[in-house]
Amino acid sequence: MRDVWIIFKREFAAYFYSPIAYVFSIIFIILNCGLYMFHFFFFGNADMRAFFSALPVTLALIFIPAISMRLWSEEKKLGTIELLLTLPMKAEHVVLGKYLAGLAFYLVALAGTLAIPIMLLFLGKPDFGPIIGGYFGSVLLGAFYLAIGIFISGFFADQIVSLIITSLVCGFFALIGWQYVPMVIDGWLPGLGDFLYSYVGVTRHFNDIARGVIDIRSIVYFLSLSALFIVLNIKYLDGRKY
Amino acid sequence: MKNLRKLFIRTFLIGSALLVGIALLVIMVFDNLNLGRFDLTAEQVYKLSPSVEKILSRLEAPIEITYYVSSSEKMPTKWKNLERDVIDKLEELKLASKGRVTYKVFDPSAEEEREAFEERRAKEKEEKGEAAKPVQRKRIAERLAEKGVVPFGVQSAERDEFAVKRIYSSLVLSYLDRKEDVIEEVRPEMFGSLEYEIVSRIFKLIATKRPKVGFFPSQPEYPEQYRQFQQAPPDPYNMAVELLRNAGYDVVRTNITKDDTIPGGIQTMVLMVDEPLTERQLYEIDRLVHKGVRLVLAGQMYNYQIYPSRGGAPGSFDVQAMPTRININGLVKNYGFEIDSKIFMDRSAAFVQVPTYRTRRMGIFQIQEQRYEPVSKPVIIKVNQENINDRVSVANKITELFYMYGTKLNLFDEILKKDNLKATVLFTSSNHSWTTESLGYRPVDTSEPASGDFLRRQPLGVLIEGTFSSRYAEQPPPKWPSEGSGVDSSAAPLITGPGTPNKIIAYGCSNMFKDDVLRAVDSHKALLLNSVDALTLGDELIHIRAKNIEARRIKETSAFGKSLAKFFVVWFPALGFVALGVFLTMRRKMK
Repeated sequence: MRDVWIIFKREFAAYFYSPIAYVFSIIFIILNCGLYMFHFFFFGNADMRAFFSALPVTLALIFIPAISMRLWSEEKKLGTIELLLTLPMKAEHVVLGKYLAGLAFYLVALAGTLAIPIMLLFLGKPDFGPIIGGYFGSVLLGAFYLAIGIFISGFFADQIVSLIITSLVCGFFALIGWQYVPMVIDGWLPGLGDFLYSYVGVTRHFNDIARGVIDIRSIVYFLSLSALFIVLNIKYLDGRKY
Repeated sequence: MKNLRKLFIRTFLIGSALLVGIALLVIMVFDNLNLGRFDLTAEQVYKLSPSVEKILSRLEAPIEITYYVSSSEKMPTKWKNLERDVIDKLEELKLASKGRVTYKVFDPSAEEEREAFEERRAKEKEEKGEAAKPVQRKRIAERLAEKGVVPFGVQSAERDEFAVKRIYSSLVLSYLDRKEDVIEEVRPEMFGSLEYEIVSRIFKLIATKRPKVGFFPSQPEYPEQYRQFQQAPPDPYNMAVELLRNAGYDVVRTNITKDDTIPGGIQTMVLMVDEPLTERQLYEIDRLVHKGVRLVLAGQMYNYQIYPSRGGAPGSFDVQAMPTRININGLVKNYGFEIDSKIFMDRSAAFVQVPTYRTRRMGIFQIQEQRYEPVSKPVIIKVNQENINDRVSVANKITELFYMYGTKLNLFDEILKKDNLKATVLFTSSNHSWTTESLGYRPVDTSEPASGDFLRRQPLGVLIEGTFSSRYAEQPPPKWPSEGSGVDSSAAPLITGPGTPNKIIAYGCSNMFKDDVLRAVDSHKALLLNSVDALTLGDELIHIRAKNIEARRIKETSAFGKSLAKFFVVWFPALGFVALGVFLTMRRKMK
């Protein structure tokens, strides 16, 4: 696992050498926390439901693609991917190192939103169960989206293309978990929308966790699909040796 | 090399498809297993209450619960989780009851489709002369309707338009030879209270009879002016009565008159007092309390009329008090409390819609327009969460109340101490309330007093437990108004001997439970049900109700506090990242 740690340190530090990380973090906080605070005093509820309900979409369309777009695309663009793959490191260690670095950076940005529960503690008596569940679900959700992003990043040398494709794929997983999209799909192809909602859509499982109920089935969902895309990424990079 | 690459691509695609299939298979398999879950909510909303096992241990025979639900394919997307969630809850109940509670799931829609298919086939055979006309049998829909299980409409989307689907989602509980109990329209939004709904039905099913509750006043009779128009007089407490009946109570209404006496065998009496009571009525109530019938008492001392100020500034409104002249205090003083006779006001106030009229000119015509304006006056008291005693089961999960024109309660410590009565305050006013005398027909002065003259946290709802002293002990009963005045000297005293330990819940506001308010505020429905349940069924059931999911409100915040909160949440962390970036940049440059 030493190789994983080496790659992790390199990738995690690289985020903070560039101003993009700070811009990303600031926009992440201002957008998500700003949206939450926009209606907070109007509704006056000491909870974070509004914050977590928007997260599957904002993470899918903007923030996770922005984190993951450089993971492999930049290596391809700079021509360093061949160097990485020829080093005496296993492909899975390289992938895991990059993946964990992206995940760690996402967690740092997510930590910036902890000001919300601190504020709630001063203004009311929040139930921390759903808040803890929401953050736990956010970690699983981010990890899943990041796995998709790193997988897609491996296919493209252009970061913008990687960002767009990742947004579309993650957005698909988010939207089929909302109530109307599977309805429409079921209207055209009966049964398909229901299948996608029940077993593929991410929002259903995230909402369960965000209300404070950690269901083993939801954890299995996130871990299975995250592992799937990480393994696919490993296999694809292994094949690049040919 | 090129061939190897092609081989890799083909192998990768096939392998990817297999891996995706395996992942989906794993998800599907685990999705159909109940591997348990961890409830992190403070109130353990999604976990069975400890009281459930205690209640279920009293079952003498199995209870069968049938969940009539349409298949998930027919459900709108929002409802697709419902079947699984309900089944999970039923499974937990089964485990908690050690098998005494059993359940099964039935899809009436599928049965309807099968019936339709068989009917078509039978018709075809009949047309060909191959079979005799089959014996007609009631359809599944008719048979279920007799039980009270009927489909209902929910919104769904079909292609590019919205539609209404008719689905089934009802629970039927069967126990011994008792009449089946039906929980109609099990919806996702009621899942939080589903445990209570099920267990409370079980609680009442295993009882030998339905709990009987008396309700005062009775349904209004037809006054002369209504009869000729055959118009029903307004019944301000109809919804409250129906709410209790739907909760499984046998509610009998009474006006407590000679011809409409208090029903026998009641366990709890609900009194909505907004008019003076006769001496005999007070005697009958005292007699109830003496023999142990629980009492929920809500008294309205004042009502108000809010109207645009005459001669005042535009947009200003005056308040005029209309005393109800209720006289319940003569009795309840013996129980250790009274409803204050002064007008009560609180800085924490809610809004009501007041109709105003404006004349507008249209050409040569003048028309009068009616509009509603939101008005907030301190007599429209809003009880916030921080003033609700959340340690008492009666008030659990009631986050706010609209104490419409209510009055504070006064507790008499000397009587409570003398009779060893225990008083528990259920909810209070804020720290900024005050009283004023009624000034007849003159507008009420609603201005705030000096800061030092505010009253702090005055009791508005109390629970008093113990053995109450009777005002009419060892006295002959007063005559009914129809019999004249004075006491019936020939009658023997009806209130004799030591009293029975009892409980009384008192509120200084009956408007909370009138239809127009009850329809709009769910907390008031919960308060009424909690009160009756607590006195009639005991605390075990109340603790289950505590699982209702209610919003937690923030406290009042000044404009500066709001700005500070926004800065702290939005800009402070962002500035932190800016500072971090500057720090790391400078450190790198120094290296």
